[in-house]
Amino acid sequence: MKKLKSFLGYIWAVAAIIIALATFFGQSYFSRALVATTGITVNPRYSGGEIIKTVDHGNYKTAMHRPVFDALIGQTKEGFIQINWAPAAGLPQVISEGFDYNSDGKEDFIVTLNTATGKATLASSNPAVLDIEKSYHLKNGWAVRVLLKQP
Amino acid sequence: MNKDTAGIVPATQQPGILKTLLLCLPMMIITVIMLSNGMLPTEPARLTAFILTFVFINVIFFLMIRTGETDRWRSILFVTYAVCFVVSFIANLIEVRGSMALSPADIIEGLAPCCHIVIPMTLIPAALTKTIIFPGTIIGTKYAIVSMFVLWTGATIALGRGFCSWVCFFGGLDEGFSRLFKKARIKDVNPKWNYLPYTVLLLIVLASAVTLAPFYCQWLCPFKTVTEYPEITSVKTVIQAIIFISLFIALVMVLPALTKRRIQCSLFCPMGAFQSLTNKINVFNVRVDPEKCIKCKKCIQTCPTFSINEETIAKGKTAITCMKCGKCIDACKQNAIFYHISGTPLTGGRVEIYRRLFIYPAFIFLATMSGGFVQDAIVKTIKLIITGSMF
Repeated sequence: MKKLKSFLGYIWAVAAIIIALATFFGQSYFSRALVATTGITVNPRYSGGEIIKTVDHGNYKTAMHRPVFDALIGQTKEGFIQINWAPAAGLPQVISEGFDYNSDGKEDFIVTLNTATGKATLASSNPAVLDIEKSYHLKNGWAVRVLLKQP
Repeated sequence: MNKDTAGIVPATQQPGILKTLLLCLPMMIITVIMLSNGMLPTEPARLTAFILTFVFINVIFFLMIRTGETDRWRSILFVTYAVCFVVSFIANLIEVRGSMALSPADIIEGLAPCCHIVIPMTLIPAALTKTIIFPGTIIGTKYAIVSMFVLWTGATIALGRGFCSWVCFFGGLDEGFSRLFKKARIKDVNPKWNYLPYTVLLLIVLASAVTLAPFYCQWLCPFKTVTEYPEITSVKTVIQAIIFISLFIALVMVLPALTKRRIQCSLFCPMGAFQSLTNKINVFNVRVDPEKCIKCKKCIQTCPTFSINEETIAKGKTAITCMKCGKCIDACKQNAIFYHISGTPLTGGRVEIYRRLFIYPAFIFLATMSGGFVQDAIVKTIKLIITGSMF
């Protein structure tokens, strides 16, 4: 038994060298495999969540993300929805666009964004749409987060 | 001298130059491949940096093998690694983003580089929501979240808490300051402080799970001072900046210098506490031969992480907080402390084999991790000298 334990100890110690090498040589492979296996993504509180609708305006595109109410378990009472406009070069000085985030066929809010100053205003026609949280000057465009509450 | 548990190789057992070179040959081959990414650089500044880094790293490894001392040489590379990491990281941030500050737009674009300290905070949310609560990229860059997970997993299996002395790119800062003075100005530190990192770990894991945000990164990380910090746009970000700078000065600079211990690493870092818990899956440990020990307490005084005391010596072990730096092994004149492989006999004259089997994987991590940053820092410095700009 002692000899077996000793043998296994040495095997494990030598395996540590192989593991060290594999960690670096296989980092890309293991990373891809881990993502593919777990399906892990960045939390929507940071990424804004999946894009559910895009509108092509010719010079620029609007991307509407899904409403984010994600909590550790279940959902929060308040959340946000993120709207992106890109590319920066194609954006007009003032963007004003309406959105139907709950797909009920009615416009829920209109966001007006001044791309020169970053000032964003909200006209809400749905009581669940609360306010502009913040506008963000991205590398290649703009984004706005609109605060929502659960209907 | 009893060769059963020799720590430092006595002169009579030191390998000759030729044998040392032979033992170093695998590391030379590995470092050439790792440092060059399989292709030697052609640009003069990069080639110079590559040659200097290669020679530096391999001289360190040569001396480790030749002298039998571990920590003495590891420490030089480990501190250099941390300094070069900071130089390279800040220079890259300024080159890419124009500033060390992380703006809200950078956060929603996922431009925050991920480090290993994030890992414990992300585990509960990842298990329950299948998402990572960090504003970085998942895959594809050096600092991508999953790349950091892979690195941490490999290093933890191979080295356990040795991660903190051989892989962590922050630890060398703490260690560097702990070696500034010859003698400790503060000698007695209450052992109860050893529980603080576990408290910090518990706090940040729970707080991060509840808020779905990396609490330590947002409020407690001293290393934000030398990496990136939230753009100062509000009272909240001012408070965060004050906390980061205060913790850095206290835990990474002043207290390590005064105590000659790695205070941030041993008494505050939640990642260190986490590594103590995951260390069990690893096969390497540091053992003490109580029969050889003359109770000079040299090891207790020199241990940078409060991991060895009279109680652990009596048990023939170090505490779970041991970072396997090898400082106690180097310090023990009786050769009563040694690296060990679980399951193998504690006697039988194989101590130097155990040590070599540990330092090979440990040094592969240290050399590979440090190599990139050392090269990059050298290139940036050369550019700064020649052109007046790092970019």
